[in-house]
Amino acid sequence: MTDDRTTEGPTTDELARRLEAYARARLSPDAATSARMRARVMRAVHRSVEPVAPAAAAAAPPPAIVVPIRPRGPRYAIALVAALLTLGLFAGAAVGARPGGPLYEARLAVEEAFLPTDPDARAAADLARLQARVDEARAAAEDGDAGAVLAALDAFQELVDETASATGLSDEHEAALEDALGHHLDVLTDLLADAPDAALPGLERAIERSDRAVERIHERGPDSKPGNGPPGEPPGQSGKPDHTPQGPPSGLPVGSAEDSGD
Amino acid sequence: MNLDDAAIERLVDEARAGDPWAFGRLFDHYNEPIYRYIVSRVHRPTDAEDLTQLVFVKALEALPRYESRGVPFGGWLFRLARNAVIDFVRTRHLHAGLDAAAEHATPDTAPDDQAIDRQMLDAVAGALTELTDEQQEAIALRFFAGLSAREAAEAMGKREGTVRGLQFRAIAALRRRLGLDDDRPNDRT
Repeated sequence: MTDDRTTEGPTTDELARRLEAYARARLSPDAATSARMRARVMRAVHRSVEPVAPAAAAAAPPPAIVVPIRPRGPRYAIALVAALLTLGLFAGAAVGARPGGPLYEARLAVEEAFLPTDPDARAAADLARLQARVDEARAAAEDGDAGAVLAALDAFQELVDETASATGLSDEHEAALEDALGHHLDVLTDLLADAPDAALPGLERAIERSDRAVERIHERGPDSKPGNGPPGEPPGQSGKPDHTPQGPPSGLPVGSAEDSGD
Repeated sequence: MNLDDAAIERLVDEARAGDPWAFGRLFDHYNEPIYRYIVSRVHRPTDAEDLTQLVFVKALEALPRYESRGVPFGGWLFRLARNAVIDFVRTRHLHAGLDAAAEHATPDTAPDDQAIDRQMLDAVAGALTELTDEQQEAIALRFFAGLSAREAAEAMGKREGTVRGLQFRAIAALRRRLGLDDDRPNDRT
């Protein structure tokens, strides 16, 4: 968008100034409008790149593409209950330490200090903590508290990075983590429409980070290990998400670039 | 946000590869000019908001099929916007008055200045209604959206020279209507 308007025709600085003043005063979107439009468009963008591509799933044997639903053993259930109880205890002990509040960081530190050492119990506790952060972000968004949304999302992102880079997890926990992060991604994407404007950039960052974490976990999952892909397919490629947009990305009426208008 | 053509093409490539951040940057760069163009055509801010979103969602869908081939991305995007406006007007048979667009205030000016500005802005709005539809469109693309003549020509599906002619006649008419005919010494023709 270059400016070659004043080098042609009988235009004047004064007319250009008036037209610009008119555009600025009466044609420019206000900040709220811009934020609303951005949130809705970015929601469509995230939805278009989020799912594992149906086309790719159709082209390869289903077990190689679809995230396998593995049975959750009793050991995992016990660990999850223990983690939830632990988390509930600390949440109760720090009543009032809302995200963004003066006690929030302290509450997170206490939570972390008392995490179980057993890897399975620790992994289950991390899942519960991730869920807690998302719940906090959602509650803060409903209250219109942008600061609290951002504080909860910061804690969420830190936890996502931590859990996604954890090593030595069982396949069962890897799958549970991937499922949980996928669910959180849906929740965060839905929040784009409701969150306060000031929280939108943070929300988009959290979505991107979660998206990358899901990809990372998926790539190192059992489907990517040698021998688990479909015949003739190199290991590590079978479950890779395809980012090609698939069909209309939102409920908006969408036509092709060529078919509308003239 | 200022982006040169090379940066825009890079962002387009990244967005086509599925990078949401790149598409977000393209939105940030183009959303205001697209909205300005659309609201100048449909006049009602709520309709302009819906249509602007629609244009970007359409762009997202059509991006895999976009090939530069000398066509600037801005021109391509504004062509989507123009088509969306045409569809909208065609289906709704809607031509609201400029009053709806006048809902915007000028919050950073003092009351006296606001009154003077309002008078001036009303005069501009009135002068614009005197233009032909194509002249209005040329002014909207060139002055409100800030497109180059080449991009405006691409958006309008016309030759660059035709767009320059439309703009020339529109400016002459606006000058007459706004009493700026005596402003010749400032001309940079």
